[in-house]
Amino acid sequence: MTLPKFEYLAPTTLAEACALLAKHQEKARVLAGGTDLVPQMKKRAATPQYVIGLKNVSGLDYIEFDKTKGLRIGALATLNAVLDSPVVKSNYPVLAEAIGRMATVQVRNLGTVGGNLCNASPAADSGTPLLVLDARMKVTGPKGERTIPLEAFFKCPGQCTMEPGEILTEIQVPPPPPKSGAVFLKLARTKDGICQEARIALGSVAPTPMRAHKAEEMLKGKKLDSALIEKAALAASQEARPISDIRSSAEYRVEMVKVLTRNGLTQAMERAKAG
Amino acid sequence: MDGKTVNACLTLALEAQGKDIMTIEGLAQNGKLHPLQQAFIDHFAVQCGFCTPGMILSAKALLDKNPHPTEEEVRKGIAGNLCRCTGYTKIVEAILAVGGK
Repeated sequence: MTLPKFEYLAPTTLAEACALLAKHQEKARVLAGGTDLVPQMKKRAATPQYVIGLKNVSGLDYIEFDKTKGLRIGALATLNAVLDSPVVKSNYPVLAEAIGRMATVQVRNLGTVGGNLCNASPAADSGTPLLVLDARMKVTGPKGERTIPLEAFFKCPGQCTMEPGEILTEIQVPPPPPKSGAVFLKLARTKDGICQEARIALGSVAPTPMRAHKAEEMLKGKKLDSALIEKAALAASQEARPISDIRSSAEYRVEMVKVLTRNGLTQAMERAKAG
Repeated sequence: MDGKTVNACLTLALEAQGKDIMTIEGLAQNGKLHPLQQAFIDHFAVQCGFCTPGMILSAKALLDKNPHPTEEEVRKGIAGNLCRCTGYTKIVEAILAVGGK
């Protein structure tokens, strides 16, 4: 498949990139890794007149960790850079775990975490761990900078809540809570066997990656035994709003939310105790 | 590209400008095969040859980073390169033979 005709713009600063995006608005798309946009263009699902490549904007591929401030991931940090980052592995293993299960080496060498989130796929694999980690998205645009909680960043499949002209610049993740344990999709926090806070994120079972707040509420301040975990898993499966498609039926997905939430909570509890 | 494996079909030519590009053609030096190329021959890891360039360059990228990988690491390292002839056993054996040296 060939690419449609487009003009490639290569800004070297963020300000320049924002100005170009503001100028061309919906005629332009921002390109980071290209692992989503390039196939979309080949399939003619996206036919932007201008492609604003961010690769020449320097200093946007950082991954920095500070014990009090947490983790900051620049918009151009590739999936593999985050996966291989020692600070991510030791402080946010759930994020490395999720990214390690995404795509292949070649794709992860190109794709970025920022792009994975901006494309707002209901199945974005970096979305669920970052939802349980309470990540925030720093964006910059014509009206200046602002941060958006990740949960409010996803709007619907393929769309996020950035305003026209805004570009994602950084993903911010608060420091991991002490005595917490997370597994891909789920997180729980405990004190003396009591769950202080639980965060459950689900992917591929709603129009966007989502948090299962009702199930989380049921676990707060309680001792997590198997009966309660079972109840919360059922609640999470009722919060999910899956569709039937070529990959599986809605009924099967609801059932799997129950099973995976149950297994995830059990494993997260074990990790929290061990940590 | 710059020492990292990437899918050519996802990379715009414009974004490859100024980068160090290595393809399978650049692997043999002075008429001498790279150890991975020789291992693929010795272990009968090539049948139709279609996937071989991707397999060998993926293996090279893996061994550059991790000179002594486990079998599981090799399998993950070559993921995304699809062999439709024989399966992957001989390919994995060839890479492990070089990685074990």
